[in-house]
This record gives sequence, structure tokens and C-alpha cells, in this order.
Amino acid sequence: MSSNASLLVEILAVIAFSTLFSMGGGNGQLAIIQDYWVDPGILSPALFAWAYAIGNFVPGPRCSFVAGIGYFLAGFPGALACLVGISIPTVLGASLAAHWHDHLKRYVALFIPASGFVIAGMMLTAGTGLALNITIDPVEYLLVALIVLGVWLKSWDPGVVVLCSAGIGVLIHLSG
Amino acid sequence: MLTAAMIPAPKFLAFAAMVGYRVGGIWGAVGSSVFILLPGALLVIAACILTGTASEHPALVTIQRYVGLGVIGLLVGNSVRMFVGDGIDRDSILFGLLICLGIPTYVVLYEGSLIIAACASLAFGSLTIRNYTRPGSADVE
Repeated sequence: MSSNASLLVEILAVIAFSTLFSMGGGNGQLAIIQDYWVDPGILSPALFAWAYAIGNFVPGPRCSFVAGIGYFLAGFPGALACLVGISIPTVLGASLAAHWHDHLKRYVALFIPASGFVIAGMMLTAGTGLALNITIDPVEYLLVALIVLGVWLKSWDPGVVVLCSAGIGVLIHLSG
Repeated sequence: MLTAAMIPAPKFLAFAAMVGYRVGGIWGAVGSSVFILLPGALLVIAACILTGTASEHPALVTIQRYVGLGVIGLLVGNSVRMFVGDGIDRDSILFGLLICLGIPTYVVLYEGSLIIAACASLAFGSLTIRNYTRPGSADVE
């Protein structure tokens, strides 16, 4: 198998696996992506954050940001591998749930209460890992803390957060 | 929607796949999940191509940096939101806190495997956390 093909298989497998950690509406797959490609330096933290940010502005599920991750990793084939990777567990899970809902419900119910905490922990890991990969000034920590409080207490919309952050970036660039 | 939230997949994508399955079986599920993803994915790719061509521009570098800070805030804020939810009972909070802080501690400080930490936490949580529902609180996708 060529290195290109093996990269595509790897992308497909990692995205398919990471999709399993999206249970209950949380986004645990960000942590897997960050751990697998950002931390080892294969994908730059700026591009990772950029793809996620763009995903908040497009119609449809926000998870379509994975297409951007795949594109940055391996071009169009990478984006396609990501889409296939996210679709396989979703289709299988949805089909099983639609067909054997009553049987599966009691097994899934075992994991649902814990899954929220696990995904919360994974998102915290992704945020911490991203922060460690970007050198942050003390003043910038205040901005991050403000966003954390806004998202937690006021449920700030991710699109607004991204737009405002980009606006601050424009202002900083123009003033510098 | 409630059943879709139980599927290990992004909620709205799972919902679309379930509706597709009900209408047209497995191929209905495949079709609905592909076609709900496609418009957004194409726009994401288009935006990535456009920004890729200007990736060296200092303005874009600064904007990307601040967007990165915003994403960090979003991730940590959503994590806190998911943890707190609409109220935590006393029995769950200790184990939940252990899981929430244990995963980043193990992965970031001890450079452990995230997948092992997540799977072990899920197993631990399923044994220790019971009868705890958080309606709507996990909707941070």
C-alpha cells in the first residue's frame, strides 16, 4: 500500500473512531483529532482551530468541519476520507438504533450518564492541548477566560465567538 | 431526537440517518447522512482552499491566532457547560469530577493515551454513575 493510500486509511479510521465519542451532542472527536494529528505536529493548531471555526458558519451539522481537517491533511481525498469516516459509524449506529431501539436502549443507558462527563473531559483535554500548542500571552488568557465564562454562563453562540475573535484579530493587525 | 442522542455519532447527523433508515432502509440512511453533510462540507473545503492561498498573509495569520484563542475558550466553556449541565446530584459530582479532570491530567501531564483514558473513564463512569439525566445540557455539538 502506498504512503498516500495508507494516510487515507488512517484518516478514515481515526475519524470513524473519533465519531464514537460524539455521543449525546458533545464533541469528543475534537480531542481525538487534536491528540492524533495536532500534538505530534502533523496538523498545525492554527489550521485545526480554523477548520473548526469555519464549521460553525456552514449550513448543516457542525461536524462537517472534519472535511476541512481532511483537506489540510491530504487534500480532496483526505476530505472525502473524513466524510466517509464520519458516515460509517453514524449510519451503522442509526440503523441499529432504528431497528433494535428497545433492545439497545438498556445497554446504551449504562453509558449515557457517564458519557457526558467523559466528553466534557475530552473537550477540556482538547482545549488544554490547543492552548499548550499556541503560545498565549497573559493578556490573551483574559480573553480566553472571558469566552469560557460567556460560553458557560450565557451560552454564547460559537459562530458569534469565532466572528468576534476574528474581529479582534483584525483590530490587532490594523493597530500593529 | 432523543434516540439520536443515544447513538455514538453527531446528534443531527444521527437523526438524519435514522429518518433515512425509516424511509428507505440502509441506503436511505447512507443517502440522508451523505446529503446532509455534503453542502456544509463543500463550503468548508472551499473556505479552506481560499484561506490556504492567503495563508502567509500577516493579517490572516493574526486572525487565525485569535480564532484559535476563541476556539480554546469555546472548548473549555463547553466542557464546563457539559459538566455542570442543568444540575448535578451529589452522588454523581465526585465521580464526574474525577473523570473530567482525570482525562486531561493523564493525557496532558503524564502524556498518556487519550483513547485509553476515554475508554477507561467510560467504563469507570458506567459502573459508578447511575440514574443521572441532564436534559439539554449536553447540547454543545
